[in-house]
Amino acid sequence: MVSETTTPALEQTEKNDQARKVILSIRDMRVWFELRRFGFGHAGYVKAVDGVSFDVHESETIAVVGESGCGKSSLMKTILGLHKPTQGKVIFDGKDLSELDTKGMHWYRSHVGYVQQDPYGALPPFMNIQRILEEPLIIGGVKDKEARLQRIHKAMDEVKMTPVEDFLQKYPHMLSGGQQQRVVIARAMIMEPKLLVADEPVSMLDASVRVEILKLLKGLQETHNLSVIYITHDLSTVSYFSERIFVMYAGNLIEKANVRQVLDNPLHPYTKALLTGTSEPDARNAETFKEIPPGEPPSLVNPPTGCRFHPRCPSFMPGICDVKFPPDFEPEPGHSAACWLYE
Amino acid sequence: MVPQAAMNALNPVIKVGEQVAEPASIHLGVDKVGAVSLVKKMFQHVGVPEDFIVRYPFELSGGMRQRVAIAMSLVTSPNLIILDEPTSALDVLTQASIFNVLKRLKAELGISFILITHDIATSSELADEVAVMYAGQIVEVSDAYHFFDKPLHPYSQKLMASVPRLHGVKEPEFISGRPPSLIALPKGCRFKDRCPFRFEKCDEDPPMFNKEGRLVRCWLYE
Repeated sequence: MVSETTTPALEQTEKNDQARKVILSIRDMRVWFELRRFGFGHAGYVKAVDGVSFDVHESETIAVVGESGCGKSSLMKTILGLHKPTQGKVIFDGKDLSELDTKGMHWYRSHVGYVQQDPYGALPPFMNIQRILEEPLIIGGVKDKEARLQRIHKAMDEVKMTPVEDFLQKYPHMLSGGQQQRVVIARAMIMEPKLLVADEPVSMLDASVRVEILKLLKGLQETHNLSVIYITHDLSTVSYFSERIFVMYAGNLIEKANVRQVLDNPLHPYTKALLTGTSEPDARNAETFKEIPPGEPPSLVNPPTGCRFHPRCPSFMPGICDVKFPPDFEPEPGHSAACWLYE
Repeated sequence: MVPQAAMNALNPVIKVGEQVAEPASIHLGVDKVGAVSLVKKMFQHVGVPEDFIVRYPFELSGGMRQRVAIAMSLVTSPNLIILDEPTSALDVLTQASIFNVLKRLKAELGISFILITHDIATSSELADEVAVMYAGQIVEVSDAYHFFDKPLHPYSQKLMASVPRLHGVKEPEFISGRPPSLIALPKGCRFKDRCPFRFEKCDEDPPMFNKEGRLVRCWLYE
């Protein structure tokens, strides 16, 4: 089952992208958290990420889409090196993360930027903006104060917080939500990373500010040839920001493909449901009921046997879906779905 | 009234059944037996299993909590329910199922709703009529059908253009600048500094103009 999940689809996209270097690759990653009873005694595992493999190429944007509790944040935190994977590998630029020492992790962290979901929670309230942006530079070993200041100016310019001087002495609470998120992005960009991990960067912002921030991220991605992993639950923002989408459900990636393929021709029943559930402004919405799968995502302690979506699936096939875990099938090139319908 | 964040709206140390029954016992003087059957009926309306009565809020998922909050607002059989961003904290599928519940309530019980939201897409799920607010004023009132087809006020148009679409070819746009401070409001139209159609007249306060039954606060429609 394990080896089956490294997919033909992946190899296919690898072929298409041969010109581009693979910058990050995840191999059969599992992140399990142990549950304990009364502080000791084993009581099972929360299988937050269970057998996930994919590659991220240079200057490629990838969206991981899923509902809350499907494991996307655990996946991201493991990529950042905040959790250790229970099994599997994170390989960045040819180096295995689990084999890096403290110095190696230093190197890794200066090459990977992180944009948090809640900008206000991500910025220390007692530091002014200059101090916040200086911190990674000090840790990263930029000793010259002038050089640090110069890089802060450059980063602030890039996120369009101008005039820079007006903002440097301010504290996070003096800024609006959009400006705070810009500071968070500036901080992620200041070490000039190769990979940016953005965890729902716009979910806390207003509609118009949301578009502004997404455009900013897209601009940065293009000018710096960044690879971006964009984690979100909102399919509608994905379409003009990323190249490939991975749909995640209960710890597994269930569909992988290019953005247009997923949005125009979704394969997995869960992806179809997600697309139906996403609202677009249209007065006819008020007159129709949406067909959505009943129930809620399963517990990750005891996930359903076979396909994890089968208890909610409208095209459930007894005897197959509830027995065997579906590997990735690839009904069209570069578009794979873990669903027995496409066997 | 249904509040925004259902977790904070429910008392964490009281069983949800009791919380739902509370408005009924205060306002209608329902006794305990009556309250139980009433709560069961309400739970049925919003799609919460009956045995959830004895559970505490932390045992429920976000979607279930929001349903409980809706049940609580239903219990005194009101004619009007005010929803303050009822789904902004929820996932896509949960959001869609909550709106299915609200649509059913609207059709079956004939309840009126005021839905307050910053998300145009979700407003289209429930609204018959849309009022757009900007800097403390209503700038457009229109029936939903015409509004989503073609908004009149420049602000509404910009707002509509900022919504990312699943299948659209057009890239979403953002509205440059930010809303004026409500302490020092600009003279005249409050949107003029961000408006692409600005002309001399905009320095005067625009009244509400009636355009084929739709109200819009903009000199373009004089």
